[in-house]
Amino acid sequence: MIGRRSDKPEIALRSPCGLDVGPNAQTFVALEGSAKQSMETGKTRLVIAALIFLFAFAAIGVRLFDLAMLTQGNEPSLADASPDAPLETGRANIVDRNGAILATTLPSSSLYANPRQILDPEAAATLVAGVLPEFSASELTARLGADRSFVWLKRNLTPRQQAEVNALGIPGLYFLREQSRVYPQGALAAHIVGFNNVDNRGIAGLEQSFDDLLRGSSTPLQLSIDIRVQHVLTRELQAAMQEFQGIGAAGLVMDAKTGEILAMTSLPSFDPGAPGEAPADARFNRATLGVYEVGSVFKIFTTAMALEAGAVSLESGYDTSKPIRIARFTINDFHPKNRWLSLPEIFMYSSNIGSVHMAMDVGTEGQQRFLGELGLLRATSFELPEVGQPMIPSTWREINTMTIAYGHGIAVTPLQVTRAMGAVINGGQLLPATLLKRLPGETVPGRRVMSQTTSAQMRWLTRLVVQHGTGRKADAPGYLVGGKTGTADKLKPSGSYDDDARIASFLAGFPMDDPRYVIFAMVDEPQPTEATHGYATGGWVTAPVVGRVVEQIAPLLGVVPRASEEPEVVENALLVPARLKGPPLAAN
Amino acid sequence: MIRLSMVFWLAAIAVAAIFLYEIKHEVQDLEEQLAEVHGEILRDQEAIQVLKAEWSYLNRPARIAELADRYLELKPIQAAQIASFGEVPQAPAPELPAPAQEASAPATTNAPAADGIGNLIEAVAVEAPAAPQSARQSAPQSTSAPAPQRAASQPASDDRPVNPVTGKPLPIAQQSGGGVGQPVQLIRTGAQQ
Repeated sequence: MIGRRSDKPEIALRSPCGLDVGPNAQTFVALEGSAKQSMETGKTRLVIAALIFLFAFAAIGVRLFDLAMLTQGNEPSLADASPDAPLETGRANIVDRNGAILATTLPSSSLYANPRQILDPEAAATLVAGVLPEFSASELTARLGADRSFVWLKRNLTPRQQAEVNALGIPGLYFLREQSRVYPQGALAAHIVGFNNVDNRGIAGLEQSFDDLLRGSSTPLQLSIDIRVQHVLTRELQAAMQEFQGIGAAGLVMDAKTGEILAMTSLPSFDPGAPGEAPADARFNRATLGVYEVGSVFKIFTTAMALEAGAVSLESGYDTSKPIRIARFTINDFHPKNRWLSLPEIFMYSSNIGSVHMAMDVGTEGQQRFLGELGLLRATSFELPEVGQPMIPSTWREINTMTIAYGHGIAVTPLQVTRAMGAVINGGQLLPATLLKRLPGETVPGRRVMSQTTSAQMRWLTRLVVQHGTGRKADAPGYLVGGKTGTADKLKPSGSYDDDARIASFLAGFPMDDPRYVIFAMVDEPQPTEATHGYATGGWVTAPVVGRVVEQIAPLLGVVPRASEEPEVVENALLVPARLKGPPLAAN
Repeated sequence: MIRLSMVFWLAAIAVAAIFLYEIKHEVQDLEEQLAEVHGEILRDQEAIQVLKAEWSYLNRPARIAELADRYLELKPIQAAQIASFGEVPQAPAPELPAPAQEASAPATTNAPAADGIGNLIEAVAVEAPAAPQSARQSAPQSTSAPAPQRAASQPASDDRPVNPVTGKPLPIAQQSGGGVGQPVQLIRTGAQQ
């Protein structure tokens, strides 16, 4: 780069914009050629840089103005704080229909050790064994001396144990914060709620069937169970079971209009907090998993079937004086009347012979179809994983039709009979049984299995049983209980029936003028007592249970007691079947 | 001029920096507090969870039944104890005119008005002497003697029960007593669904 320079270059200080800033205002330097060009380039660069900065500052200014003046109204005066996340317990609560907690998750501590950090396993083991007496020192020494870096010592310590272990001050022992499942109601609803394994995974009951749902949310799972009804039912069944020295009992209360199960008991029960300590028999859910021959309770379905099929009417009757002999069996009556009985009488006195005649008039196919429609031949779809498969004859012969007419030769779950009874009394709609609370006003998908008329007639007949028949002890004044007793001999392992081992049951509904609730009560192998004059039948064992339960739960459930009994039933019109016709039946 | 503005801006920057520093620390403090409060809320929620479980445990129906057996003289409701509103007998109409005749001017001055029923009684009592003679005579109570004279001879406070606290005459309905009929126990039963 060659250029000509002036001799005395006097370079004036100049601002980039050309303003003079120095004293030599008159002097300037004129450059030419490449020098001039580089000056020009420098100038241009300066201008560009200035423009960029100007633009940047302008942008900041605009933004400042925007923030300070324009968006004032929209700016929150408080900082955005994310709303408190609900307590994550890892597993949602299970509550009853009124919100009482059946299962909840509470924080707890578990003790583990890192054996590699433990300096003196023997000394540590002695100390820990002193606090946790379930461990022996030698066992602990082996565990603490292992060449591993993680050993569980005890899950879910009590706060006291935790404090004591902490006070020992042994290095290498650690607490892990865990969640443990707690069942405040104890054994009361054990079979419904179920239980978890030590890792909080459901392995029985609703804990199992809703495992994913419970683990995925913190909203409580609301059941249809009413803990008060559950308590009343359990207490009364327990009392009956003790009085008659039964080996087990089961009971259900169902809303006949929605299919909601309000109470479901299986005795003996167990503590779901420590299911391992209970015998398998206690964990067995008799109400949904056990299948039983329920005996005469089935006459409800036989009679409804015959009425629905038109094979009989309320004025019909059968000669029950002669026992029915078929193959090597003889079918007799338990309370023989040895005469012609009208249909209401057959039902009232629980005549096997009459019921068999009824079933034979309908036929095997009709019986199969009707029982199938009532959901008695297939396992019920239900929220619990423990649902029993009914035992039905593999080939349905005439003899099966006969015995099934009075509830032998078919074994079903208490849940099934309760659900079917709901359809019998509620106007003929078979509803799905559920353990989950239905929303008020929710339409329940029902299936019509019999006509309104048949249902009304059955209500009247079941009411008769309680007023004048075998179920008198089930009456709760004012609540119009109607039901049917059942006493079934149990099968011996040899295959014949055992006269001394039986199942006493009672299937009822109330109030019969506007049926709301179905109740089933069953005691397994009740022994006769002196107070029952040597009887251990459904009428003596479980009918009083139902009566007492209705008396106690009806006020809880808001059933208004009826002031007076229905007069047309108080008259003994039974032997005059013609009087049974007409409005009282339909109106009931 | 330049120096001055420079000083001004430097001062402004210093002020802004100090201010920013202060704000930042304040915010840090607040955030710490917030985290603490969040922690406390979680601990409280956990405690609530525990307490709810305990509440549920203590409210087991079996325990309540046992406690009720031991400490309360209550029994399960019988159907006969439940009545509807339609079955409740009509309350008898209060016989207002009778004491009103006796309680005339002296009674009203003695008892200053404070409550509704007292006002009502006094209103009637004031009106009663001013009522037309024929009307009073048609009333069965006033046939024997003129009301004002009876009132003068007999102070009203002697005739009627008096509230011991306020000294005011008691409402008539209490005085008249019977006629209510058999007591009816009303129990509101509501299905909790």
